[in-house]
Amino acid sequence: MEKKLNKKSAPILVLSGISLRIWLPFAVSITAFILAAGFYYPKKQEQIFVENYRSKIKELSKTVALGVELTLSTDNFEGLKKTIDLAKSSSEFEFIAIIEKLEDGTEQVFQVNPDSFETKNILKKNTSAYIYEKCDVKSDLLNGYVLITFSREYIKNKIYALNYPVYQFLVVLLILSLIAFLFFANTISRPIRKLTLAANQLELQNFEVDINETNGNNELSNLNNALFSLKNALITAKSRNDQFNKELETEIEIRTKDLKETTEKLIKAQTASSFGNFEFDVRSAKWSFSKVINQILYLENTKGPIDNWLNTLCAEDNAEIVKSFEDAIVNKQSFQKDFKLNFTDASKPEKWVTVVADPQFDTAGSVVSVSGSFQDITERKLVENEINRLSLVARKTSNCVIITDKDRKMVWVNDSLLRLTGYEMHELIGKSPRIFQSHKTDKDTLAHIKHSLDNRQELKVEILNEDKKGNEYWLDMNIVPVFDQKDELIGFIAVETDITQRKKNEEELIRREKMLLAISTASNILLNSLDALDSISRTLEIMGKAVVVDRTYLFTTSNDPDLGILASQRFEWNSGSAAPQIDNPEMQNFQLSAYEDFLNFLSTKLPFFKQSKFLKDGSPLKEVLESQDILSILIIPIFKNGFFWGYVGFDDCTNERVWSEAEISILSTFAAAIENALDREEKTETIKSMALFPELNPYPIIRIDLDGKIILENDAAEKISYLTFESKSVSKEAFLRYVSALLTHERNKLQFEVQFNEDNFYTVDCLLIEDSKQINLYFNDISQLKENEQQLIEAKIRAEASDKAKEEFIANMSHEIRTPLHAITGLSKILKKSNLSSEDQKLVSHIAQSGDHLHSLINNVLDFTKITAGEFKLNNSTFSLQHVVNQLQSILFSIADEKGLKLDFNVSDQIHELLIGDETRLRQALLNLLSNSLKFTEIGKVSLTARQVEDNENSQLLEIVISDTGIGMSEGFIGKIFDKFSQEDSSLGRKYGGTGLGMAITKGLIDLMQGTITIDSKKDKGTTFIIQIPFEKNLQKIDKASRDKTAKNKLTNIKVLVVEDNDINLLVAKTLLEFYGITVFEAKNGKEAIEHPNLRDVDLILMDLQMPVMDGFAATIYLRKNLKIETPIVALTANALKTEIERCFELGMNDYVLKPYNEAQLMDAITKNLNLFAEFNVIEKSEEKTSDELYNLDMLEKLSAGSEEFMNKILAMFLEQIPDAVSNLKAAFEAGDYETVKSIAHRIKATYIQFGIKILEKDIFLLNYFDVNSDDDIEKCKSAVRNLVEITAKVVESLIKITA
Amino acid sequence: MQFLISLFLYLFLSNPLLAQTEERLVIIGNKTGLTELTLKDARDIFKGKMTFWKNQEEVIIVLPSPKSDDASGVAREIFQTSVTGMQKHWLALVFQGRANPPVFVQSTLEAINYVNKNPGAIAALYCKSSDVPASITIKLKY
Repeated sequence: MEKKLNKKSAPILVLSGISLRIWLPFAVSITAFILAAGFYYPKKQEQIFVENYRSKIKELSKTVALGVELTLSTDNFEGLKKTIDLAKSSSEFEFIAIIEKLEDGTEQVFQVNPDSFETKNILKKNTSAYIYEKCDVKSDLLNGYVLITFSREYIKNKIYALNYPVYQFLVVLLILSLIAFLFFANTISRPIRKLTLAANQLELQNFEVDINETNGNNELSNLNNALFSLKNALITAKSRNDQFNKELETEIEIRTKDLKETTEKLIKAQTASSFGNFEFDVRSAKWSFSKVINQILYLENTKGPIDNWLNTLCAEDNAEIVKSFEDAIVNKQSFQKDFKLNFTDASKPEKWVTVVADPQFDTAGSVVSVSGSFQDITERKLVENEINRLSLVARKTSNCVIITDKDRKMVWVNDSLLRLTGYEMHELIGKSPRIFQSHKTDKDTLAHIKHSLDNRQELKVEILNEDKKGNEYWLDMNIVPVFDQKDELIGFIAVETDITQRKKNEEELIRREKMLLAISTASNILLNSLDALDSISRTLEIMGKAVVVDRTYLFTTSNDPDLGILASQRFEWNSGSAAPQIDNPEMQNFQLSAYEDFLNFLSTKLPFFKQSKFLKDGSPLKEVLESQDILSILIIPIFKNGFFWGYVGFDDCTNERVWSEAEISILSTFAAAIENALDREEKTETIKSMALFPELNPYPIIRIDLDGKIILENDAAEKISYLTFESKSVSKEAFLRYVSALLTHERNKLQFEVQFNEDNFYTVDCLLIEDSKQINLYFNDISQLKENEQQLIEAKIRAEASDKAKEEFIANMSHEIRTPLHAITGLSKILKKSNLSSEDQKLVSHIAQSGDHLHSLINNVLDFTKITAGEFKLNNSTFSLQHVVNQLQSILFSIADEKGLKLDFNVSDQIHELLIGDETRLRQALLNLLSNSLKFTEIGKVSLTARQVEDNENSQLLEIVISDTGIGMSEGFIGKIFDKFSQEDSSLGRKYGGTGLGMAITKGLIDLMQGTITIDSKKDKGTTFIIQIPFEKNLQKIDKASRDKTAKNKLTNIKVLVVEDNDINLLVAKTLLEFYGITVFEAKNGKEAIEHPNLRDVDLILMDLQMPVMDGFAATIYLRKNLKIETPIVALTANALKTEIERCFELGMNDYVLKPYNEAQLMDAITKNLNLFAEFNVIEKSEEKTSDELYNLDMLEKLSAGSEEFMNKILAMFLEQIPDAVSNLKAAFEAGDYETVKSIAHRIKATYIQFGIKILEKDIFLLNYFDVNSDDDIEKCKSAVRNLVEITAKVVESLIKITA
Repeated sequence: MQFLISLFLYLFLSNPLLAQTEERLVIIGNKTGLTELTLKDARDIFKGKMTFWKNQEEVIIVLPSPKSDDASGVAREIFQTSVTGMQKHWLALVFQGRANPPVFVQSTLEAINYVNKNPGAIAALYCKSSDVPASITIKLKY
């Protein structure tokens, strides 16, 4: 240290402590300044450079642009070359490019120099990396500009190169500055550091530190001199202090040695006696313990104060000690107490201590402390406790203890022995234990005891003794010889346990075992013997011996109408020690009712047991028992089938026996076994009689095993050797094997029909009884039954044949009738067109109407016949319910409108768009119901609601509800409505017409469709039909756009013949079909159609029905019958009359479309009938138009598919044809030519609807369908014609304006 | 009959007299060391793909001025584009410094004179072959 301090500090640069604190701020400041200068200066430079270069390349771009312009205008390419060379030589641009502006406004790189530069990066300007300057090129050949680009990187590099020497200079300057200031910092910090070090050494009392006086006059020199004076003063003080300490240490050493010796002696003494002293300072609550107490209290390893030692004790001990000390302090009294200390730490064993405590007083008499001693007395306490415990055991044990001297004289016995033997202590002291022996004590046991004691051996024996009164008792005795410390015998100790009860229990167990063995044997005999009474007699002896009684017996009872129950002794066993009673005449037929209490008790089915002495004196039962020397009796009643049959009895004439529970229980079991034996004997008799039962059966009964082998059979079965089974003759054994093979666990019952015994018919019921692995076969003669059945079958066949013949007759007749009927209706319609008088017209109309009606009736009859004959087949295809309902609405609209009824049809959106089913038959069924509703409703409305009631993945259950506000039905009729030929009131038939077959057909159709129909109707309130039919869903749904596309693709090669006399309608159909790429051929009437050259090439015919020359019906008949053409024909009709539609189908047309139709309706019919695809069923809901507008061309515009040509053409046609048609109609009406009026109205009807002239819709409808015989109708028609003329004129006027 | 028509057409079209009176692409250059050229080679030369002849003479391209009558014929035959396309082609080459600038002449005569005066010069003209001396004409092989 000294060396280190005296060493002259080397002039090295130290960068730590104070010098670092001086140097660091300067170093940071100068470095930051230089770095900032090095960063901002080049930035500024770059800005100046960029401006310079930008100006330079701007000039250059102008030069190059000028060069290009000149070159292109003068063809002097040399100039351009020089310009480019000049630009390249004078500047370091990135690239020069010519950008061409294209006509569409976009730009493209025409050329770039150097051409290595990626052209795609030129137009995407990157201003952060490059400086761009451009100049437009003004030339006819090239519209664009010259673009010159300069790299900012180049500028940066150039600046860097320029600044490099400056950077070098700044770095050198920085390093030199840092070093210079470091030197300066060190110069200041060195003396300060030296003085600080010296002061620290003085603080550590190192007075050898080198401090010299200086002559300087600055702060540092003054500080140095002050430190020098302080050092000298400290050295003087230290030498005086050292001398004093030395003397003091010598004195302490002498005294400490004496004290140590004294202490060691005391500690040794205390340790030897486990005795320690303590002191408790009351004021500070501090304890002082000697080492021994620490050991006693396990405190020797405790670090720190031991004042909390009481907390190491269990709460109870703690409290006791605290209380004692509190008493000592409060009452100022000394105490000496033994305490048992249990420590909270369970690993520390408990201790006993004696505490002696004396309170110490101050001069004022207050207790200032308590001092005293602790002594560990644990070992002494343990010995004392052990002795107490042993003594207590000997005195209080339930066992008997005898202590004898070596001469085997009793010196001490315990209380238990005195209680057992009844002796007093003084009667026994000095006596031999032989006093307890009786004459029954086993001699061998006594000899064994003597031998062992003589040989001083320990022994253990069981011995029978008797007490003072002579009562015997059993002991389990353990005798131990006792020796003194010199191993000399000083006496014996006997410990005896009373085992009298155990011995009794053992004897009882043996006796019970004997009884159980006896009951087992008796039960076995009773179970296996066929003769119950014989076995009872034998078992009485067994039980009597086992129970050890003098008499056992059996009494049976009989019922005497006068005397009541009589009892007679049947059997008896006698031990020989009591007089037998079997021959006692009093024990035969004695009246039990004389012993009323006894009899009443037995009737409870409980055992009766008594000792005779306890019976009432003078009672009849006691007299009987005493006459037979019975001391104790046990009687157990026996019941058979619920009746008191008799009883068994057990007499003890030797002892007044108390019957144990075990005896009563075992003997009751014996009585129960007798009951069972009697019961079994009776059942055996029954079984024997039942065994004869099959033999008495006249029909065969056979029991076979599972292999078909006969186990049992009756006489009737034995006679069978062969039988006919399934038309084959088989042997009985083979049949039985067959039966056994067929029956299994799952099919345990079978019935066959067989023949045998002169070909009589039998049913054989075979039943597998699994438990016994047997099969029972029961034969039953059914010959008569068979005969009756055959007669019934023959009767049924005859009835069915008759029915079928009837139906065939009806069907044939219906066909036969229809042929002339067609002629009648057809001819009457032709006749109507001829010049007839109005009277004749009426007659002909009646003929036609009657014919139509008859036609409808015959159709119903035919349908009904087909349904009942099961010939009606459904033709399923994809359809739309909405479509069907729309058709129905169209068909029924006229009827409803005529009657002023409202039609309210509603189809739920939840119903799948495309369903699979027979659309035609569904429509027929619904039409029947709706027609019916319309027929029987005069006021109100007819509604149809369709919804889904179940929706599955592939199917839907639909509910269609048709309700009306008509005349309703009576409850009685509802039950019969679906019966054929049913009409509630025959007068209704006359009023409303009909065959009464409509509802039966409807029901038949719905049944065919797996549906149900229910009716809810009230007279004069209305009727509701609820139909539920399941339909499969067509899941191949495609969106309309792709569907239309597919449709177009598929329809391209299709050819269709359109037969239509109305030019406008023809144009509409043609335009629409051609839109889909269909090739269209035209025919103006039926005749043109059947003569058309392409007739056999077309895929489908669209046939208008009402046409001049030859109508659609006639043409269809000709095509189908004469030309045998099967091409699908779709009727186009403006008539939604049911009869007309039915006629279409009847004549062989495949479908119909109501005019005016929309695109979807027509295309739907075409695709469906060509089997192209069914998905075209698009229902476009027609939009409701307000009726106040004159016309609406929306429908035509939709049909035109945007074709202006079509619209022009159709407007022209309208203007050309309609005014003429209307004036012709007016003229015909005025001339009374109503058929012409109807014909024209029919022809123009669709056109008016297509043109959206809704105002005239009703008028045209009226003119088409009015009744020529009705003056009312004709009157209405006048107004209709007037409207038609006026409004048509307005429409024409408006349309002319449009076309103009 | 067909044969006769074919024969007539052959004779008519292959008549050298007829060929001399028709305007067509003519290449001249008497000091290039070339006597004949394929059309493909001619196109490559005039598109600036060759800078020196085999005799180390620098290739000087001589073309009709865009305003001259020959220009459209030469542009179509050689550059397979319009006159503007031809100009743009050379503008691009010169701009990129990939070729020496061509010399544009106003007439056939000027072209002949230039070719005669400048070794290495090769001119493309669209004129009658009779307008050009056969001695300096480089035969084109189609």
